[in-house]
Amino acid sequence: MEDAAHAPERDDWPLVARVQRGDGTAYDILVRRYMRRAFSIAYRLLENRADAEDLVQEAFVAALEAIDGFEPRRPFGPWLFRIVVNRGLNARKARSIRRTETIPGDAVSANPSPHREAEREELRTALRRALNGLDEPRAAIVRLHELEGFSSPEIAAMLDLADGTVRWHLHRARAELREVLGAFRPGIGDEVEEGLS
Amino acid sequence: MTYDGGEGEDMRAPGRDELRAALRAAATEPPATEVDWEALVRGVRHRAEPLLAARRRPLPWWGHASRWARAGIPLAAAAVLALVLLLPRAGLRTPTGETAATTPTAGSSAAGPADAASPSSAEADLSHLALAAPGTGDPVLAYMEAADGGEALLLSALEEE
Repeated sequence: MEDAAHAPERDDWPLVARVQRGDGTAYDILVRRYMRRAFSIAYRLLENRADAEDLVQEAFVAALEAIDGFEPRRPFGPWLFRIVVNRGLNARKARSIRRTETIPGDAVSANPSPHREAEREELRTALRRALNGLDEPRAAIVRLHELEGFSSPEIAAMLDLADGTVRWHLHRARAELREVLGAFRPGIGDEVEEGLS
Repeated sequence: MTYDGGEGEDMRAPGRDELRAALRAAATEPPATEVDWEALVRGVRHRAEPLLAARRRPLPWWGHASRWARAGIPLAAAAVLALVLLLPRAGLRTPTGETAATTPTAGSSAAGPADAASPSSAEADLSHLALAAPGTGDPVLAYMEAADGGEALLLSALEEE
């Protein structure tokens, strides 16, 4: 996956200026440039592929509607991701998640014993439940930071929060999630980590 | 994926990496390979086309006015707010009728003890006296209580001093 959170900033302003004049080609370039990252963020928030695709489409159209308010010479990505995150959080509030897709079986180390695999599945379920049980925006902050790799200032800009507030949410969320993880220690957390490496 | 570590937390905190790994294991990776990206682009473009077409059409005069208004209204509101906040300060008057803007500045107050006896310093002292003990009957303070800050009262008070 492209690590767009840390990709070098591109000069999007000329494209945005063309889109402001109705240039469809420039709009297509922007859509193709940011759709994968936008989808990834949307999926982290909604945990459903169809919902995430809908959200990405809505976000790009909303961005076009608001394109006159885009601040010149700023990167387009963070501005778009802010729309994705805000609409994603609203969508989470407005509707229940249709379903949580199953975890791919190859996410952990090969050839675990049936007992160990059952333990791991139990841990993953417990962590997912704990993460979904966090209040918003705390859960979104954890997803964006731990899973998407955004820094706390980037998340603060997306959610219109102070950086310190984001860090405080991360600190509190980690404390809550560590309690869940701690119930499965010793050993299994390490094995989950080994399975990813 | 990299982390900048700029969030000010101790990266070596026990269990943090373990927690991150467990969260990643528990989360489902976005199914990027299952998405028809070209269809997604077409979907976005289909929904965006009316908006893009509208932008290609030349704006009527009221359209230009509307665009300017979007920027102009907040600017005007900010200007009015600034005036409301700043005008009362600029309009503050000393007892001699001078505006607050003519009272000693930081530069003049830093000039040293030689300025201590200047008229503006004397007025400032009188003001402090008046604020410290209003209505005590002191002739000097009577100057401060005069409705128009009369010069005659000031002179007589200073002579008595």
